[in-house]
Amino acid sequence: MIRSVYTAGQSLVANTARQLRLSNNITNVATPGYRQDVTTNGYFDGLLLSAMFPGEGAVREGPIGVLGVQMGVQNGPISLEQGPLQETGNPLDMAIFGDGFFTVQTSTGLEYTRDGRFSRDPNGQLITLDGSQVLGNNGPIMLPTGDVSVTEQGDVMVGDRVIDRLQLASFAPTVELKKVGFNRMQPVDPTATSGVATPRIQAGFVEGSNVDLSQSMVEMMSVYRAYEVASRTVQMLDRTMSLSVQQVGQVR
Amino acid sequence: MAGILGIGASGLQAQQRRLDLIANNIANVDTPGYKESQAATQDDTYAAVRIAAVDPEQHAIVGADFWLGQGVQVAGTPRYFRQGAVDPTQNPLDLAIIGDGFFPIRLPDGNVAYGRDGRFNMDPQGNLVNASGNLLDTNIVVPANVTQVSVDASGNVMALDPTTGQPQQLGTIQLAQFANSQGLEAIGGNLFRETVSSGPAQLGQAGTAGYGQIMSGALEASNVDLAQQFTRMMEAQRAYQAAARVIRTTDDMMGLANAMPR
Repeated sequence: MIRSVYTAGQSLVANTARQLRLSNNITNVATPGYRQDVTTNGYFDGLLLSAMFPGEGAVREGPIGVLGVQMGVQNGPISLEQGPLQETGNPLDMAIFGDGFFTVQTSTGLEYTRDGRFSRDPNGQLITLDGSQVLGNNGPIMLPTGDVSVTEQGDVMVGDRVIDRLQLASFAPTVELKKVGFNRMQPVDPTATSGVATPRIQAGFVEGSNVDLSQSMVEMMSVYRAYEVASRTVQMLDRTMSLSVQQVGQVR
Repeated sequence: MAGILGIGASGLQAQQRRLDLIANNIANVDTPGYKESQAATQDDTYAAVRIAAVDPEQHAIVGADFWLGQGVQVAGTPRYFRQGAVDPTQNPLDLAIIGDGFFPIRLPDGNVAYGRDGRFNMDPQGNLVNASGNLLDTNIVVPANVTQVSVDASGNVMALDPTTGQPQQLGTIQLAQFANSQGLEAIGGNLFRETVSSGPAQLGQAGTAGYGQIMSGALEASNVDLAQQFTRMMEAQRAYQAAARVIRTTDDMMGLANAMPR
């Protein structure tokens, strides 16, 4: 019975973790380039209980059976679904339509983003909102003065001159990505290599968050109810234990 | 669980900031030379917490990283210097810049500020001043006796000398340009100040490479698109509500946790 209290308690912990994930998604419902975090429930269904049997000369271990114990949570894959394109009219805003990421050079290495709200720094480099360099195939993109335009293939032009092509990276579905903030991502395994993506680039647009608000709200309701069920279960188990401690075996 | 309240609060703060700037844009929809600004949000940093997970091969509980975001943050408030519509007026000293560039304005404290609001007129001494009475950085004086003051596309200020009947040049309005105009700092009065991130002002003649042309008898309208601002306002309001809902649901969950030991 003590074990069941922990099982219900674990459900409280797991649902709190899901709620944390959901809140991050929901508060970023209007963050351009944000990618929704997915949480999957892991059921710890495969735990084998084993027992020790006295054997010949040594203690032998043998299974009793499978016990479903606890609920857990796992990182789901980051949702890479396309977000809605929103027109801004700013020539240095870029949106990716299709697969792929902009490649950004930060102090901690290469990072990848779908947030294309770029600007020009005093030296003429193309930078992200927080001032990190946006990379082209030939390194950081230097923009001489003049009107900037970007083709659908990602060629950055100033006037009629092609300056560089945006370095658009893609990752195989097996590469696990993690978020690092500032709308950027990195492969969990630093040795993972990126491929070349060929999406369509839309200049003058930004890609909105791909958080599905109605789905997130429904999920939040279900998390709340699951939490409620678990807390009621704890209370019920507590009363049951109270009975066994205080009444069973009571000598009158 | 208190962390979730912080995430919800970050959403309220970020959307509040967005709404503040949207309100400011909407209020300036009729201000000549006004440039739209936005609170640009990004997700906050992520932290890994260790959670229990099942290793399917070993049939054992192992530790695993579970990535948790900390909510949303305002990464910056960029201003967008897209061209505004050009509205004709009857006043030859109303100037619109078609293309890039700013009018350099000398402030009373001696510093130079930059703006695109081209509502100029003459003060009693004949100096060209902007709508708030500040001089152009290269002061242009219009003598009392001249007539037909005009400004050409290159910024040359011309007038007719009534005694000779000949046009004479009174001076040239230069334009300022920045490597990164988004880095300019707004100081109110429709003016901006150069910063480290904007780079220093580069003066040049209107109509030359990199500098827009000056159009006399016209004003550049605000570049705020009202429909776009209202759409963003609705989006920010809904996002605010959603963050508030996160806080409320989490509070209810904490209530359940509190009610457990009875």
